[in-house]
Amino acid sequence: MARKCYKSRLKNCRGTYAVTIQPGEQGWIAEVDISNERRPGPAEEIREREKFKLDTSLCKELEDKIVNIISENMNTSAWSSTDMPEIDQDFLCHHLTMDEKVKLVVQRRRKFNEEKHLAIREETQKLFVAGDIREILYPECWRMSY
Amino acid sequence: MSVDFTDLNKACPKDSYPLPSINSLVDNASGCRLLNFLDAFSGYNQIRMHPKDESKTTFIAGIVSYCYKVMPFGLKNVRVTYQRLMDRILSPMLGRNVQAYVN
Repeated sequence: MARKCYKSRLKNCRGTYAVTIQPGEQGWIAEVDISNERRPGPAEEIREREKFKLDTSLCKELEDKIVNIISENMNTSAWSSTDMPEIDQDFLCHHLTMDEKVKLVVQRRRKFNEEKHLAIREETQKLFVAGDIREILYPECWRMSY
Repeated sequence: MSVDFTDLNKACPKDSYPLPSINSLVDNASGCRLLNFLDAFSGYNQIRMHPKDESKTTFIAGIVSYCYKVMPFGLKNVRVTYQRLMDRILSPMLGRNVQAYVN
């Protein structure tokens, strides 16, 4: 919904273009290019770093100002998942509140074909490397019952 | 990839923290001369699960069982938790020159 509003607002302008900031000989160099929009997926690394979009309806003066400010403060934004420190658990973490009256259920194990199996392995490996998941060990008798 | 948390979600009561209405956010922002959009990159994954609750998110992939250390997609109430985080971080600016919306 927010994205829709954003898009519809952009329609009223002449459009946006992407600006890539790269370290040059004399400070940061802003590189402008018109590219198609695509959002990176959760476990996907953003390859094109240091890229942001500017409204083309801005006047030149303001545009230069904004580019300058962003260039000077490159370090304040996280450009990839490795730039992001975790949120302190004491500040906020996600609790699961459970209804005590709920009965335990055994979820059926789903069967996947070879292709999907490989994809799952790949995706879980990505999450594992990113540190989003960890292996959990249950007593052997538990594992055997699968 | 997302894990089927249907059964777990059924056992969790809904978190009734108020979520902002998109219409009022857009209305509030409409008078501004300059708009800047920031999009969080895999935002949910930046929030840790409570260590005690990690094991509840266990899933099996192949012959290995894993559990989530961070907030996974597909879990109930995660949107609310994210909104809570945004509200806490941005509290001095929220509604004044910043609006936060979780899609």
